Amino acid sequence: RDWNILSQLKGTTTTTKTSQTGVTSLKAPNLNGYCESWRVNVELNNIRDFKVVPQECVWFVQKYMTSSQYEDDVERAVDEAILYLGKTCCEKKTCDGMDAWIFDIDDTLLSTIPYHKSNGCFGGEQLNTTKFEEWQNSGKAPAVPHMVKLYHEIRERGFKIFLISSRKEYLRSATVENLIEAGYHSWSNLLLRGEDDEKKSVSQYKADLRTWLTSLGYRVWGVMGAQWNSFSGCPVPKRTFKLPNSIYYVA
Amino acid sequence: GRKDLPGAGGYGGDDDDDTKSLFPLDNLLSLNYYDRICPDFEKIVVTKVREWTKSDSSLGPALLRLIFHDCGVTGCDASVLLDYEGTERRSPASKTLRGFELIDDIKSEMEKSCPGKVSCADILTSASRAATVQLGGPYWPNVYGRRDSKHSYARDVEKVPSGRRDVTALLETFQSYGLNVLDLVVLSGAHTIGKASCGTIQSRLYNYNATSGSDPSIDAKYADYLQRRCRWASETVDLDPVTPAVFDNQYYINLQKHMGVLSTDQELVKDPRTAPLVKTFAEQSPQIFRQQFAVSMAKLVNVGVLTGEDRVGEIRKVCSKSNSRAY
Repeated sequence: RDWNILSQLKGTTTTTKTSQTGVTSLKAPNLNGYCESWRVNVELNNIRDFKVVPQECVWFVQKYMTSSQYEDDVERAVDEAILYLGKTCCEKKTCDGMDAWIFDIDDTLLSTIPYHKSNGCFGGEQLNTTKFEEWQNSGKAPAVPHMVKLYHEIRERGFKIFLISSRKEYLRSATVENLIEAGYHSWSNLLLRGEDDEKKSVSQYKADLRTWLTSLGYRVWGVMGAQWNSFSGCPVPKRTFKLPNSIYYVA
Repeated sequence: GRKDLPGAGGYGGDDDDDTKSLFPLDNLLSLNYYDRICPDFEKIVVTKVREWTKSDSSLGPALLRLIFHDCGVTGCDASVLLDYEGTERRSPASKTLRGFELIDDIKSEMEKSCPGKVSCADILTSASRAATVQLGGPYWPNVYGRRDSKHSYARDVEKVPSGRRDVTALLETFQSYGLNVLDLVVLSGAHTIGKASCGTIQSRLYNYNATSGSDPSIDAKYADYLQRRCRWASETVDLDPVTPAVFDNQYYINLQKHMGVLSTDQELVKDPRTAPLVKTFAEQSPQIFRQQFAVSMAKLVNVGVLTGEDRVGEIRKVCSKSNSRAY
């Protein structure tokens, strides 16, 4: 059973269409449109809290995440972020060292696509936390395309970079090595979830860290992540940049 | 008047009937009740059921559900068919019951052939078996001679197990019918066919334990599918998603894979009293389930019947109306 909801929706099974030449052809349900609509609404945070990608759309999510379109979409986000950088205070007066930028790690700086490829599913199964962390611990994640460029553009403008991740504290050394190997360096702080943080939702944990940064006097100019949990809650960052990812949902 | 299921064997007259049947009998119900007074009784029922289900295949499961809702209230007395203010039929819990028009049609035909002889309770009993056979389920011999109740009260409907009871409550209810844990598991197997109204499971899908998520005991892929199918309470969903139109033991296999639609279904694999039976029916030949289903149905349709000896009840002229009530 493939849990394809389209096969049971009335009126969207095969329809007959007569072309100009009078030839009758069968038109399949528009699965592409259906799945793109699902994917877009996940990105917009209209569809939340799903545990698995709809089974009839797993192929579509995989196709998108491994396509040049995905890379182009990331590149566009990077370009918009760089454009935004041009308007920040560091261009206008002497930096006081209190301008901050926050990056998430998974699917923002480092890509998890190889994990999903090797495990044969793109959201079709519930994420196996144990296996996923083993993979993270191997430290072989490649950089998300175009992100190394943005990272250093931000760093060179004098921003303090804070890496806030939902990865667990025990993955610190593997994460550091992976980041360096992928081309990232000179961040101000790498913040991972300790045991106390694991009791909070990821959204709350990340919001608490933004609160902490602002209490130290930092101005958070931008937050970049692949899940909405990087942006939710107070304090609200000045700008947020979301990279596409509908493979899984972390609240 | 409620009547408990008597011990097997009976006593007194009609001894020849008892010896012919392997099923427990009420002494006043008879295998050949209509042989002389309405010989075409079962033939008329079968013909009508076949005719109606040909154009609406969902009526088969609906009839099974209807008999369950009748027998489960004050016994198999056709009280669920009465249609006036305050009756079982008018209760919110009966809102999704269907098949009334089919029963009325059979009754109308029966009144032409054998006026005043055939009760609505017997028609419903016979129709539910015809529906089961039509669906590929087992045959079981029915005894007849039920009479119809004169009254029906919506408040009694609370007794019928809804899709949200736990196993202990279900067992208690079944016990009061004279049925046991095996009957509970077997009769739940009727969910190998039919549909559930989404309204009965929406809290399980969207608001489980006051969270915004679904019941974690549901398979994640299946839960996602159900959430997208059940946008509206008025939508329906197959009770057996794998073989929704086949009378087989797939229902039990589904339960073991966390694919029970109703929470009462899924609870059967959690409770130590019922889980071994679910496992047995899932792993053994489908024929074992079919045979046992026939046995349990034969017990169900004899629950709380009214008979001539009680000097209560009537043979209704129209199933939705009591003869003694002014309209």
